Amino acid sequence: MEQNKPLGPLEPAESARPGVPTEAPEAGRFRAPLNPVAALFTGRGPEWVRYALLGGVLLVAALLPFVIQSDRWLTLFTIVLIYVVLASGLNIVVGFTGLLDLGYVAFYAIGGYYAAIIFVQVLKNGFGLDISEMWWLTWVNVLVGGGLAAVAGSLIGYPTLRLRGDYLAIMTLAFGEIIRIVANNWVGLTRGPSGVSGVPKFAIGDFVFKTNFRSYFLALALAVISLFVISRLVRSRVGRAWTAIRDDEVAAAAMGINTSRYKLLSYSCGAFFAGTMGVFFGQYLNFIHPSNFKLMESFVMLCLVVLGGMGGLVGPVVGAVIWITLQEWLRDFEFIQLHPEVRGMVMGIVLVLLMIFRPQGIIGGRRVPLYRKLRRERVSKE
Amino acid sequence: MEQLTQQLVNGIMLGCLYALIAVGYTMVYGIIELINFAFGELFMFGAFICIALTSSEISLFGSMVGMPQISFFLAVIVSMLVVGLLGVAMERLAYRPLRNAPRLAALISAIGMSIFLQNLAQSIFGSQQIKFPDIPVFTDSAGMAKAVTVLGAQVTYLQLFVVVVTVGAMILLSLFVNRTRLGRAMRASAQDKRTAALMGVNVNGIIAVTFLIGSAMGALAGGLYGAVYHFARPDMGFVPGLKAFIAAVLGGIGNIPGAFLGGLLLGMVESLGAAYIPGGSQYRDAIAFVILILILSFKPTGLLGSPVSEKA
Repeated sequence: MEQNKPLGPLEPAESARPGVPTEAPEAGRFRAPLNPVAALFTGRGPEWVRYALLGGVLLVAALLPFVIQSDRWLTLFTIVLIYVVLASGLNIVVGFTGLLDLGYVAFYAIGGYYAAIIFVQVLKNGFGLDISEMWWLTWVNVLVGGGLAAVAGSLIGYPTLRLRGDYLAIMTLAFGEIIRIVANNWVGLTRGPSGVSGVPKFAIGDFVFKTNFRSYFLALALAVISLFVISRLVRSRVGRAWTAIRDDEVAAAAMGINTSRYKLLSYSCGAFFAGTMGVFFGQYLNFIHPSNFKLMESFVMLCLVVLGGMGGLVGPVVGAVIWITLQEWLRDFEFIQLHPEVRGMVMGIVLVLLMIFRPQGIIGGRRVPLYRKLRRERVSKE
Repeated sequence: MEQLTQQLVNGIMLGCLYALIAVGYTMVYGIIELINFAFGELFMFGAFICIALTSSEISLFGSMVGMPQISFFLAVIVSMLVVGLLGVAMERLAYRPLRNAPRLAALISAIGMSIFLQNLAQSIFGSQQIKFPDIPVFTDSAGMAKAVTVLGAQVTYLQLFVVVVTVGAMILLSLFVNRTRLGRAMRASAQDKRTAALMGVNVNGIIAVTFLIGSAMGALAGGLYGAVYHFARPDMGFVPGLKAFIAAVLGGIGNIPGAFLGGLLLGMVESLGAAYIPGGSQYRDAIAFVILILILSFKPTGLLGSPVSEKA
């Protein structure tokens, strides 16, 4: 087993992977973008096409709640945005650094429980303060919750540094489950299986984000900021180090990259975004329950990343939008409400078929250009 | 003292069940390096099929259907066969096309399979827990489990049966892998699939046989688990499946005696931990994961595993 490709020891021949361009790096420059959609997906073509598309997507996202005003759909879109950030954060670890993480939900849980515990258990029940007055803390929490998750990320990451591939995956899975079991059983802190209710909503003074309409825009803002930060992060010196570790860990170490440090940093950065979303989730739903953080959630997040395409920025977003919309939308059918298991069967089969016919994901694992001008095609495979 | 022996007895029996599922994980992982998350679901199907065959009637897709009500022992064998074939079909449809795909794709496919099977069971048998019928051989006329007292601990006949069957299965499997032609082909495939194929081994066939055996063992464990705990539920397989994988890692993955040892150790530690650690019964499931983390931190190859060369 080659160690430098922890997620893919059995490599097929180069041409055996459909959809992955194999031409030399320079070839892209001479190809005119015939199709703007393809330009978005492949990253070829002039900059303005991509910026225009990006602007278009943002515009649609911003106008969406004015067009579709049902609470049901606005809630769904907000949840989609949460998963967009979660999938993108996980993609830092799985897609960019090449570390398989099956316990990502733990950091989401840490963020959510942090917000719930600080407000309800500590400030309200512990000190008897009026938490509805402390609107500023809802915003501070987003960063503190993210920070806590980041610290947990490097703590959990530390013992996994020596492990590779599946062992790594199973260890992260164990940590994820332990966090959930603790949340379920440490009744004094987390109220166990009854969950913590009464978490305040986001607010600025008297302006409370109480409607789905307002919450959607808040989620959109958080998602845009998170994606922007992630896109800068993966193109930075740190991001290049991550990519180097993913592609060949030994070579990266030989080039002077402190692999342990950057792996821990990757866990922390990924965990940070999950933590912020946990806080958002808690202060959006006002209720935190251990069943929100089941192992299946980790699987769902991983599926979003793989579904859309790992190692790019667009993939996890597309994966989250398609999958979560599908998952929630299917609930509306009367047939599905009568037979909820059919939904699970369909989703299971879709996952299997997708992996068989398009293992690189919907978008395909396009490498993010490390420099803006130099566009390199993805020649190695994850 | 009595409590200790009782917990040990319970732990050994639980460990045997983990070991039986772990065999599937360890053999499959040994050859194609895939964590087949769906073994837990096959285990669940094993339990359901046993119930269906030993009951006089059962609700399938919401309608009551008459059932043969055959003996438990025959039912276990039939369910091993059916689930074994199910495992082979699963390998053929969901994993073989991904043999050369990235590892993550196969893992996601396994997760998809697991979701599918769990929901399939829900649609066939309903989402409610169903009761496992009493087995006449192991219960007296009053419906109580027959038991003998050993060192103050109640050991039911059924528990004895579980241990005997597991030990027997492990011995047979070890002999099969180490002494037969097919077993040798299996070991060869685990070492190097390409070279094995060049030596005339039908690697695809070997992998199918591995899935057949692993799934059948899972079904056996499922039938016994259902009989011991008197229930079956569509989501019953997930946690035991995960713990069986932990047992396989604990013993050294790819190693059949290791799976047995790992299962036994895990079962005993869990049982004793739940009884003696304060608050242990709530954190019962966490014990297994803590053990996993400790083992992976200090001896990643497991107790009986051979060291894997890190870099060729």
